[in-house]
Amino acid sequence: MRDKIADLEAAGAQLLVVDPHESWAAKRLLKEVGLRADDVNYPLLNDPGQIVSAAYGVAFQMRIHTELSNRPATFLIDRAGVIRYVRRATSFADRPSPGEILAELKKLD
Amino acid sequence: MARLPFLASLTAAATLTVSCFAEAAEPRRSPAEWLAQIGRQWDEAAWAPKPPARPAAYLRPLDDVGWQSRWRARQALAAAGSDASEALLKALRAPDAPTRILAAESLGYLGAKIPRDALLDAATQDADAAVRLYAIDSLGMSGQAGSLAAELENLAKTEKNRDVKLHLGYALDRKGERLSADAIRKLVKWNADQIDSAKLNQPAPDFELASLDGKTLRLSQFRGQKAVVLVFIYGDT
Repeated sequence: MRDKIADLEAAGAQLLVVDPHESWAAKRLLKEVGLRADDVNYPLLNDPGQIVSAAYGVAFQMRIHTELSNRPATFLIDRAGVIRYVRRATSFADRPSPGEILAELKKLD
Repeated sequence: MARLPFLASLTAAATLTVSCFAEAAEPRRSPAEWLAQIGRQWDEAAWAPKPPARPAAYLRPLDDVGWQSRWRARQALAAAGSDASEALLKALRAPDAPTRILAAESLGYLGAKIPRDALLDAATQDADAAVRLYAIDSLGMSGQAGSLAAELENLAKTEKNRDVKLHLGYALDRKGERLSADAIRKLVKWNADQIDSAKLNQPAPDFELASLDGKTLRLSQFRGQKAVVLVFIYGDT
């Protein structure tokens, strides 16, 4: 994971991750594995109320075990602030590979 | 914009509309009407794959828009605040699980004055695990998990569902810390016309969120500097 983030940074990109929950679950998980919030080496953004998740069209689209949560999705936004790539998951494991993301990043100016 | 408090009646004929912050692109609806219309716009059976699946992960069809109705209903209920309590209490006993789930979830956004006993009842006794889970979350979001620590600990001993047990743990972790008034205000004030506005080859909707380590971050701060890989996760439940 650390290598993949390094690859993104080398390609001039910033990874942002949006979680539709408050931070209680993430904090507990970190505590259980002996890490702290600043050990997470990318911004993990909390979106309680799911406003950003709604703007980006992913809120309430996945039922995961007992919860109703976000459809996993990846957007690439270029330096001008324009969305240049969108991939919304249609199944549990459906995600773009790191290679695909890096290839798409290369296409941006 | 001043919020005009109206009492919401349980009978449709006598229902008065409640003023809310959203611009009137949508017809004004009472809390009871918002709850009633969910069933009409959300086909609960339209998940893929069909159950049972391993892991138990189901997705809406890509062209499904029922989620938007659900989102707007929850915003309207949060905006109505205590005026929505009566309708939400009734919805907490609806025969269908999706309505009870939405009611349990929405109560967490009403701020401090929520029906504690009704939520604790739902957290203990509802047949649907998701209702129990969201009732527990809402007790936590309203700041009541601290005063209910003993009850929540007892529930943790008898609850069989793994996710509900986890959420009991989160409620016990947060104690009396409620969902911030700022987060509720942002939800209520947000212009829902922006729902699903992120489109390919269009400007990315800007936003400001706090990260796990407490820093605030705006998407637009990267403009001119770096491309952004924006990943939405379902979040470990």
